[in-house]
Amino acid sequence: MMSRLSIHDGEQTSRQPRGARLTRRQVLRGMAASGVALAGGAALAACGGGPTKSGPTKLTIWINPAVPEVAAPPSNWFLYSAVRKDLNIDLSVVLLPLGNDGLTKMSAAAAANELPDFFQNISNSLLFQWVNLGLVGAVDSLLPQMPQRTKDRYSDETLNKLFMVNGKQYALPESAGLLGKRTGYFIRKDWLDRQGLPMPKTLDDFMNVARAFTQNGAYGFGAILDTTTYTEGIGNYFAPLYGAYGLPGPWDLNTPGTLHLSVRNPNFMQATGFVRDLIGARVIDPDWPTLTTDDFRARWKQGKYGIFWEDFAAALGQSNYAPFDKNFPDAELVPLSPPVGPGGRSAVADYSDARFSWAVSQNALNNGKGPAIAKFLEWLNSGDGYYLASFGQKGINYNLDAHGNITTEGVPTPFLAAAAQPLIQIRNLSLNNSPAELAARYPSYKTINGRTINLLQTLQEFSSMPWENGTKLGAIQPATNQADIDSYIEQGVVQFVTGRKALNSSTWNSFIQGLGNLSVAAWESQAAQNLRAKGLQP
Amino acid sequence: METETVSRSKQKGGAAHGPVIEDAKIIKRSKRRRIGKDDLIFESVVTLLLVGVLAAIVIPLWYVVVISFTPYTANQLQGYTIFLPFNEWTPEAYVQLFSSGAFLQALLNSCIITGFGVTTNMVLTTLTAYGLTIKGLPGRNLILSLILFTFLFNPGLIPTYLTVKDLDLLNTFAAVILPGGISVFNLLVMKTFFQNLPSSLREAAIVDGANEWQVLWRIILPLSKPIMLTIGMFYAVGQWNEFFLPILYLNNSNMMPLPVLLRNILTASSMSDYVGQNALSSTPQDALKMAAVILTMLPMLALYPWIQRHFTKGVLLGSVKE
Amino acid sequence: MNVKALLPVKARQSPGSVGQLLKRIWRYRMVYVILLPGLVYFAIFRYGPLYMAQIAFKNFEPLLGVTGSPWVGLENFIYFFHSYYFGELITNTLIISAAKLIFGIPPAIILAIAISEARFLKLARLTQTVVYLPHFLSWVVMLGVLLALLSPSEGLVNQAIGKAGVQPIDFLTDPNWFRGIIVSSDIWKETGWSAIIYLAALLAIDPTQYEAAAIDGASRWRRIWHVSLPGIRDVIVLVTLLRLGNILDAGFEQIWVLYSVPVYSVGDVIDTWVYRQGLLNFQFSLATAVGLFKGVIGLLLIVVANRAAKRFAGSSLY
Repeated sequence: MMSRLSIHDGEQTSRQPRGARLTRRQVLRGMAASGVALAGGAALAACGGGPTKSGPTKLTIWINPAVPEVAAPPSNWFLYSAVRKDLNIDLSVVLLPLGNDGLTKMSAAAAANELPDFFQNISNSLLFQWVNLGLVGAVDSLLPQMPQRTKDRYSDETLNKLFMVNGKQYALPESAGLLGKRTGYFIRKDWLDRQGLPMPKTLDDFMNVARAFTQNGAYGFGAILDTTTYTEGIGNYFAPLYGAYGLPGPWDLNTPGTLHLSVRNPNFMQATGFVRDLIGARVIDPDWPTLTTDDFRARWKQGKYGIFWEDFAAALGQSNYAPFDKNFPDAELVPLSPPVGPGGRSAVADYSDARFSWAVSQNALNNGKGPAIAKFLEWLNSGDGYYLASFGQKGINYNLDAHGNITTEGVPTPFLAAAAQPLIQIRNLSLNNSPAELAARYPSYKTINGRTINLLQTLQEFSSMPWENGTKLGAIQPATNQADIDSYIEQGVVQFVTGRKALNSSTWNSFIQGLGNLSVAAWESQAAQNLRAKGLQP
Repeated sequence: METETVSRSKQKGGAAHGPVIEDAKIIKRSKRRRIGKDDLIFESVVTLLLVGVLAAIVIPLWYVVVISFTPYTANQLQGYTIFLPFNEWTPEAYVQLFSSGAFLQALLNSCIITGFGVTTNMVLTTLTAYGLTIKGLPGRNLILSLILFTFLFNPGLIPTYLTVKDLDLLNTFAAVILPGGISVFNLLVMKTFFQNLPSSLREAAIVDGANEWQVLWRIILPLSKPIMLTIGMFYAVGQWNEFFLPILYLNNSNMMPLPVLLRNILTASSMSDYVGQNALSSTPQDALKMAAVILTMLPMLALYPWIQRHFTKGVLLGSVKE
Repeated sequence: MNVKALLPVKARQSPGSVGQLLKRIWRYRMVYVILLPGLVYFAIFRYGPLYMAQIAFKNFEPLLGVTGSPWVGLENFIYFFHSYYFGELITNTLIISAAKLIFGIPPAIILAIAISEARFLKLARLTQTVVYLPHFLSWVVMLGVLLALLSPSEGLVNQAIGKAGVQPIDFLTDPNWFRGIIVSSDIWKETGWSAIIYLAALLAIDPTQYEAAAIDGASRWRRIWHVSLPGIRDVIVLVTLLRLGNILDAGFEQIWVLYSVPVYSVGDVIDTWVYRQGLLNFQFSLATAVGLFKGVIGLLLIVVANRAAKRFAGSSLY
């Protein structure tokens, strides 16, 4: 039972006793201190914590939790003691809130030159700006100090190039590997069978099936306006429909050597027309622009959608699928290949091979914490550290079977259970997405009706569909008026698909010409320049 | 209103301000007899208004409550969940929340932050509000202008963060409490109330030899219960619901107050990363969210009626205005 | 000690007499002591950051700190004014804010009066307890509630009007309806809470004034007009003036949660734009500059409105 009053071991900076109310004297002292601090703020920021002869190195990491809505690791976490014992490091883990809250927190810390020692890169554009401001440290010196991990994870040229600035590397990018192409359209096979329809192959099939599905309060197609995936369009949920025209992502990658936004390609207008027809036929949930992902998921689990975009684990993971299974034991969710367009093309979406990436602060390197960081990362890569961080404690959260594979037989708190989640919140640092690991993380199971759900097979099906590789696009830095550009394009496309604005060549042309008012062409050439500067081909 | 009339007349202080008790009773009686058509229309309008407001508020709130008790039901149209019959209610979501160790810790943190926060707020605000009511204080207008200036010009996130960092308050509860130490809005409201108390009270006390502290402590404060309770509650609600400052300034998860937990639940499943890990039980997210919302609201809910009672008891007699 | 000297004295400052001024300051020294904690707070936590706010005129670099970053003058402001959507942002902000002001304050006053005048005390007590509850709901939760009511596919409202044969309305995504939804949901959420202040003020009115008016033959309506409203006039003016000062804050959190691309043209306000542009692009100087700009506008409005209030309503901030 964690004691609230115990000062956490891994704390780095000096701080007042928790909950202490400031007396007037303290406030006045603070006033004086503030005067001094204003003058020497930067100097005060990079306070100690580096390795001393006897004491352990203090290390603070900021990372997105693997599971946000469960608790953080307790203060008596076994990982903390293991790290102290094995590596002589006093670890402190800070879990970042997801989404914009986390961006704000990191940005504020960056602005105050208080970036933590080691942190997850949650925004490429912010990271590059911090690099330019000298806040982020180069990781080149760390790589030789963690040889096995570097060999396993940081040997991909393209990924490393993404994070090069002026010849130095500023982040440790990890490949998504087998989990890179994990999303796509699911279709209610039971509805297809009930109506005697074949799997839709072309866009026209798609439309017809969606129409057939729309009845009794259900919609043939469920989607949301997701501007977190990409903003120069209407997002990933519609990506396969644009992929049918060769434009599954925000950038037109059909002509190597030049880099333009997809909207400039005439096919974009065709694809937009198709989506408009889809919406006009009322086969899509009309709440699509305002739905959050949560509501969207609640709705497909209530059986409202015939075709919908979803992540393979979000759809079929045992606890995610369970409520759907309870409601519809005869339902069958099957991956749907992206529809083929008039030119014979199809693509699910853009995917990026870069999944998580990690960075260190310049302050940490200045304080000599580099070796400790490298040691920690190497420890997490394989052996004890790997198992502790990814699955938990042997015999309690997992076991190894005769072949050395991970299993949850006979353990009191399996690592897949809710109760174990707080103990493995930093597993994104240690998981390696190997086939054996994936088999342990995504085990097959039987539904209520006895049908077997094989997650890995579904993942395999998604992965073998046609995708567009957009990894190199991670090198693109935002324009100075990025928010306005995004706003203009999003609004424009949405107005066309909802029918607010008529879609024909003249309205489309004036929409494209309007890009000139926002210096989009300048941004496009800047983007190409960003890629070339890193040795990537636009 | 009628009982209050009598008790207010009884609490006269200082000079005579109105009819004595007997006259008040006569008025009461004549008021009662004179229920004409005019009064009837008035009363019915008022009653209808209140009933309408009540309905408009209760129905959506009821929806929130119902959702927190809802299991997944097939083909349940989202809006119609409001009519979910009682026998299908399930307390799953609340059980799951309570059994999470994080919840109780967060509750405790919220209590600490709100407790210390409101105390700090009230002390600072009351002292400043009173001081500003002293007419003739040299520089009063200047100080008032300086304060008003800060109301209009909010320097924003980063300058405040930099200030807190320079004071070495990052990752402490003080960082969450102090930057909002005085709300100018609350300050001015309290000042207005103090100003509407008869100045003769202060003058008389001073003539009797009291200093400013004693005036404030013995005379003004006892008469200001409604406003103190009101402003105190404003601050309490603000501190209790504050999620952004803890997210920004606190790093230790075991210092996080309730709203942060709630926000994690509310915004969490929008990201698909985590769902790859087969994490949670099958409690529908909606029920969890609404349950967390209700639980966060409950302490305030419990507090308000108690405060409300003090509102109408012993209200000050304030007659002479300046 | 000359006690009488503590009584309010008409400030009659003889010009250029520092000695007299110091004497007065000494007389009021206790008041200064009382004011001290608050002033210290303002100095550290309001003026400290305001000092830092000079980054609005600079190109802020964390390693150089606030004082070390290079000056760029009004560049950040000009960038804001030249934003492609500047006109739209200002328009949306003003319209939404003004609507919330004009349509938001009267209901709170009316509700407070209704509660204090209610015949059935139980009803009044119940309303008073219930009506502030929506204030506690976060807007994230409100989105769910609003979808349940207004969703074009399933919302209760659209179900009802569907039965009447009318086409479902996209309340949240139709530019014609969005502002109305913003304003009315805000009113729904905040009226009960705002009424608390007016209620407290109403309770402080001397009841003998009501009796006097009743004796003079005034009906309940007229008593409200002539006793209640003037009695809370100060509070009304105060609240209105303060809200005018914040006219360029249209309610960031609410709009951020409820808006979506289809209604950017009518719903995107200054704060939401600054959030997208300033935060996500690490342009804090821009965000600070916009904050200062809002302050300047608010200041102008308050000064003008304060004068008007003094003249027409007999009450003001000073």
